Amino acid sequence: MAANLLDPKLLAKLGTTQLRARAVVEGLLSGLHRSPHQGQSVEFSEHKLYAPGDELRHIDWKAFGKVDRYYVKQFEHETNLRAFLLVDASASMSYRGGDGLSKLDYAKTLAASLAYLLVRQQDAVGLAIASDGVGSYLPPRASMGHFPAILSRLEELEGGGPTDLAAAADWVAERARRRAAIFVFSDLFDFQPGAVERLADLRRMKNEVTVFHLLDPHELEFPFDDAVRFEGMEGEEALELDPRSIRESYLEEIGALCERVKATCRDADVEYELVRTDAPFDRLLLRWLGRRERA
Amino acid sequence: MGISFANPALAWGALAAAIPVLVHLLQRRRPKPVPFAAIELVRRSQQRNVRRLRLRRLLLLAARTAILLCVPLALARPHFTTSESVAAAPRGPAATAIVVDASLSMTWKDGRRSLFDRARDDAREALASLGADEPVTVVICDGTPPRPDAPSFDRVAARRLLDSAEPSFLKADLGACATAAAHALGESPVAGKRLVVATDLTSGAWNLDAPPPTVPTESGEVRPEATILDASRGEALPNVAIVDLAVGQAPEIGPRAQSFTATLRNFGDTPLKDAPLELWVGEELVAKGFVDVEARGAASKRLVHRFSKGGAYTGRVRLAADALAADDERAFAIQVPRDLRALVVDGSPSSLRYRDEAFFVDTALRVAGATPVTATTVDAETFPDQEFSDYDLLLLLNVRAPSKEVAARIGHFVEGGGGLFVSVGDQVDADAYGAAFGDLLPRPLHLVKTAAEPHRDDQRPARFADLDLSHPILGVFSTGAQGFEAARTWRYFLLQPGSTGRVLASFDDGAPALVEGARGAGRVLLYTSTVDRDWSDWPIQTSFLPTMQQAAAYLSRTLEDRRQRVAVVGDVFELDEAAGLVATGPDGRDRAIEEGRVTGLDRPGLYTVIAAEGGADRSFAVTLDPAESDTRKVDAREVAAWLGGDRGQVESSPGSRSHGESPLWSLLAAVAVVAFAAEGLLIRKP
Repeated sequence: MAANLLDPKLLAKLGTTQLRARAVVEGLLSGLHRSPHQGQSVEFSEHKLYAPGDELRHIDWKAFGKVDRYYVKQFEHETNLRAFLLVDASASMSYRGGDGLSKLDYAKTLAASLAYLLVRQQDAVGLAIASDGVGSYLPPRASMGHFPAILSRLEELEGGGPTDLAAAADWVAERARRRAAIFVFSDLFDFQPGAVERLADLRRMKNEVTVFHLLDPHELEFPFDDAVRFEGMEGEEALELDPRSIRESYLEEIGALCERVKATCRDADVEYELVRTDAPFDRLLLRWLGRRERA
Repeated sequence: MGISFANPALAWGALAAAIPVLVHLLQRRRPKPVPFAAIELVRRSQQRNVRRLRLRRLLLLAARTAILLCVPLALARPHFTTSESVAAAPRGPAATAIVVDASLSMTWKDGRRSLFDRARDDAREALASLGADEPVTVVICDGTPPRPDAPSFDRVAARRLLDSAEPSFLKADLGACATAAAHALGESPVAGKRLVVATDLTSGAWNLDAPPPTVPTESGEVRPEATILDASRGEALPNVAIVDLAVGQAPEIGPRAQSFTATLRNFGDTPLKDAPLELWVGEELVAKGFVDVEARGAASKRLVHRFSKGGAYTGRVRLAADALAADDERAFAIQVPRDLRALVVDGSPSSLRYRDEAFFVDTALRVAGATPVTATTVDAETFPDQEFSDYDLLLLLNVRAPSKEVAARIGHFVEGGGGLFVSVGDQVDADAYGAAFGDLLPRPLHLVKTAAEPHRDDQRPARFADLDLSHPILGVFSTGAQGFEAARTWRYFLLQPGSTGRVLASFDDGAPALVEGARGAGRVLLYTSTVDRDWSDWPIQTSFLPTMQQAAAYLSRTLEDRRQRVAVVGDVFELDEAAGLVATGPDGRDRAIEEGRVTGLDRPGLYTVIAAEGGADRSFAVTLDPAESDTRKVDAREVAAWLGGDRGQVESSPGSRSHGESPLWSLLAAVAVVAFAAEGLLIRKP
């Protein structure tokens, strides 16, 4: 039953991102049958010889008493993740071909689900909204109290403006000074030269980058028959044509786009996940989690 | 040039062709708006396909437009009119005479349809094309005198006349038919006059030297607007025909042998090689030969057959059938002479054969000739004991005058149809002959004239002169009478003056030499000199033998039998036998016989004259007029000009169009089908 609830068409009927995210995560966790919260720990991990700049409160005085040297205790929570959720909120993300979720709604749900999972692991989660550059930002924090803020920000999110992946990537790179996990939720419809490559550059900056490439089924299958006036969602010029006449070449184009992004990510060691917005969330998350565990 | 429609109302359906254009335009203006995120990819796809798409869209539009344009137009049956046919198009209502050639040459057949079938179809179309205000008359030109009705609006009658028409075996005079039709047009008050002639344009049917047809009107004679509908479609009409069949004797084969010499003509451009020619007697094939005929040439082939006995025979000479089959066969009806029985009375016998009076005559009759003769020779003393009725012919050669009783028997014999030949000599006394025979001889004998002493070279003997070569006996010398010129006659009987008898030959002093007479049904021939060498050396001349043989046949009435009993289609056949009751034709239909003339000979073949009770049925053959076998064509433009002057025109392919116009509907239908298929392909293939 839980799996059914994870169907985007059903989730679309749930009013808020919070509800959807909770349904996703709870359903996911009930399916896993094991706790994902083991990562949260403040237990001693190892000693490190004191060096100037270390906090004095972490000096292990018992060890000093035994060996007459200053050792500093290191705890696991210091190795927790700093995650950035970079959600593309351009106008093109608002597209919804059928009766499921729009790409933006799907991204919001997916981002909220991930945020929830990460926060429960005591990972610090931040949110960056990419819309005509970066429209809004929540810095990473690990407390559970931070999650409602993320949800609230996601809830308010509406698509608009052009996609500018390069600007968003630069902006995140500037803030993720330390090694961070960056999750990108975008349809990658930024056709400026080098836009996708800039995302790949984040990986070269020692960040762990995962790209969720969200595409609507209509964008992947182009199921239009009658004459259509295609109107651009980011101010592009409208096109009137017979869709059947270009379906073949369109499918080639979208296929080529996906392949190019995938190849770019592979070359840069960036995790790439092509996400159909009609795909159940649990499968997507399980696949992603499984891949991370193997890594 | 222009386009006309058989069903103009349906042509309005062509407006439907605007539908795809409108749909196209409407689609351009009101497409369904769809916001689409990946529009950049759509734009790129469109740019990649822009040329192909534009072409495809135009093709699709063109195909749909073509379908909706062509279908209603095809249903409207449009016709493309050329400048030529526009010239022929009526400038107003015209009284129309449609003349259909129904002569023999129209039976020329290429496949299943004859030229006449085509001409009739052309005529039907011409009839159908007439306006409601145009009266029409139909003339079937079949060789009978044309008597066209005045033009009327009774289309049914005109159509019925066309439907019931059949080609004849007669020779048609298209000029005469056109003239008669033109006169009939004069009876219509409609101002326009139009003459339509459906013919094969064979030369035999046209006499362009005759005055052209004109229509009598109140304002004088006017030339009609004339159209020739060429049933041959401008094509040549090759034909090989038997144009003559001569039946003669073939003595080299034997008695009662007949030769059949067929004359063939090739009217085509292809030579005829090894064509089989067959001779059928009754239903039996008795001889066969092969003949070559050069293109546009002629050839003769002689076939012979020896008949086992005399009598009447019928048969035919047959050539392998070609496109014009009627003239590939020629029937004949002949009388093979029966064997003659001749009683030769030798009035001056001799132990030396060559000095015997009957030697040369007997020899001449016994030589195998066309008519076999069985001669019985007796002397003057015993011949009265013979039964004359056992013989066909009695020859009295220098016989003393018989008794009156015997002379009366001879007269009775002649009256009954027997033949009598009388030659004179030293045994003949003119007065005694006169007393015995009376008027049996053509002319009474008078006295003997000696032109010269026999065999004296220093005196001039009499010679033959004034030969009547038109007589059946001497007709065989029509090409030359050399055998008579050399004959010398020293002595001969002069005849008493008179006009009785027909003089076949005279001596150079004007004295009759051969005189023919008649008594009852019999014939008598008197020769005024001897048939041995006593008074004349004619018996040793080359002309003697054929003359005697011809005379024997003529006197016994078998010479006439050698003639073919033949007539030409359309003519009459005159019977020489006792009047028959009726003549049955090859089609089984009876023809009337009036005053010994058979009429209604409308087809070739054998006709049997049914004799009155007690008589024998006899046949005669009817042959075609060779002129109709001549399928060479006249220049159509000359005929058109002759018929209508500058208003004459020729349509060489009237069957391929309607009323002188080229049909477009089939082309339009084909275009619609192609467009339909193309549209389907364009729709299926994005």
